[in-house]
Amino acid sequence: MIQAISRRAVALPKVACSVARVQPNRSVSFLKKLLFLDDGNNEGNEVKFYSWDESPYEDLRTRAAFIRAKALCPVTKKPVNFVCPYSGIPTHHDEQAWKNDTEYHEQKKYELLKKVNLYEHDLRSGRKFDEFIFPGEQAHDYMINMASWDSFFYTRDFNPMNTEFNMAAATKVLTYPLTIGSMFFKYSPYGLQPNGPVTIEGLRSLSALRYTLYPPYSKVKEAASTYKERPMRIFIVGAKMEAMLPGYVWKQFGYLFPDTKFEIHFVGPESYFDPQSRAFVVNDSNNGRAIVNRYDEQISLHHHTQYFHELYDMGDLFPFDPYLDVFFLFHPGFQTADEGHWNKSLKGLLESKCAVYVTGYHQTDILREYSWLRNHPLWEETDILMRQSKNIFGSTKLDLVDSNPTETFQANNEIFGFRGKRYHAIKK
Amino acid sequence: MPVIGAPKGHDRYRNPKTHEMTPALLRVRAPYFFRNMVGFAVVSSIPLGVYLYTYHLLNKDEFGDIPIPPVSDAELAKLREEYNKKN
Repeated sequence: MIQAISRRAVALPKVACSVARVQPNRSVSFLKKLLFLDDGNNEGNEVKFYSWDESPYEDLRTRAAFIRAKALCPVTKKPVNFVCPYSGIPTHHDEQAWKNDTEYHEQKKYELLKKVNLYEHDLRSGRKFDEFIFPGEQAHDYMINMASWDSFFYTRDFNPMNTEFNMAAATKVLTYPLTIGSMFFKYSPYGLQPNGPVTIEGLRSLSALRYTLYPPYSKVKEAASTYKERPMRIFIVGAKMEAMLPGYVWKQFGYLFPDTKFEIHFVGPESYFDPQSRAFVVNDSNNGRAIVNRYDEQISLHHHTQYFHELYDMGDLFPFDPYLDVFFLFHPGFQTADEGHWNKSLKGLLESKCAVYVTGYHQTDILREYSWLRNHPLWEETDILMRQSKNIFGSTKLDLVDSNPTETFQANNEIFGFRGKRYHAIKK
Repeated sequence: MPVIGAPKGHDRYRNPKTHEMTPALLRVRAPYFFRNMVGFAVVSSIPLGVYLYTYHLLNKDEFGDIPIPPVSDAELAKLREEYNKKN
């Protein structure tokens, strides 16, 4: 996806480079700006506002047509046929329904939808995407601050993300590696209960992983850690968009832990995007072995196009080790059409005793995932590692659900963690 | 393809001409603003306190009880004469 964007950025002439606005004079003092938290962000007004039906980009016009074809009006339950004048997106059946939707106007949903509209146009505008110029290795003696996206970008020496459009484009791709990285990082922003979301069991799992990432100091290099006989494996089960991310995005994760080698395993039928046919393909060459893409010495990407339970039953990935393996489920959708597969996969996930982290699009979504786990027969076997909480490194780019255009979401917005019980339960 | 290069330093977070902070830097610094101001108040209160205390203490000094040595008129005339002679 990024390659597509950057290719477009090269191909099209620069329309408007509003990022590096040079003001001739210092107009407002720093103190005043900080006091009123005015970040000088009035770029939004400069971006031209189009309705999706009249967008200059064909794919957005197609998407608007798709919404009209599929979506139902939230008030009248009839097909959508009215473009909200605030957001430029078809949302309701007619003007009357739009006016009657009090929830829509009270919660100012049209402001979020307007942002969706502007973000989509910004991504296609062909402006100079300076935010995709990624930094290299972290200089020695410079600590990374994981408190927020802004401090992370500053301390990692990214280009300044001056506008919300810069933030949206950069965080949309970096949210996947950084959600993983912020969890394991030595100075992780997630605190222990009761001040933070991490439970005692969660701390046990994280301590095991940090033992591998930050081995105890020893003068002899060989003796540094006996746990590093193989690279650390990160399994991304049910991978979709994240499997398309190129290696240099995952390398940003590698720069957080420069002394450890990583294998990133994408598991699921949509985990390999074939650039030739421009589609997710199931790999049936190789006798079912993974497609390996070695980015560099530190990072390699493995694409398994089977479901996780099939892979687990095959036994190629054994043994699992909680010190060296971890699972991430980015918006798994436990209660969607894949529920049968998740039912079978959960057994393997719990049996491995490795930490499993689940993210969701918004609070309702993550609570839905959590309640599925809660009501699952295997709940007895499950420990919660992390209470459901806001993911600090979630994407800031808003998007909307095509079948329900008044619902907006952000990738990786919420997160929780679980693991198979590691001790024998005692009956009382 | 992105350009992966050596760090260019944090100068990019300022306007190259006016050296004004960019919105990105303002957002980075915003969470520290209140605590920095408290720290500034604490640190600046030390020299300020010392100064005020000294001023307060010195203002309390009474000079009335210091005896001014008495000089008679004859001696004064003599001293004045000596002074005029020198110049």
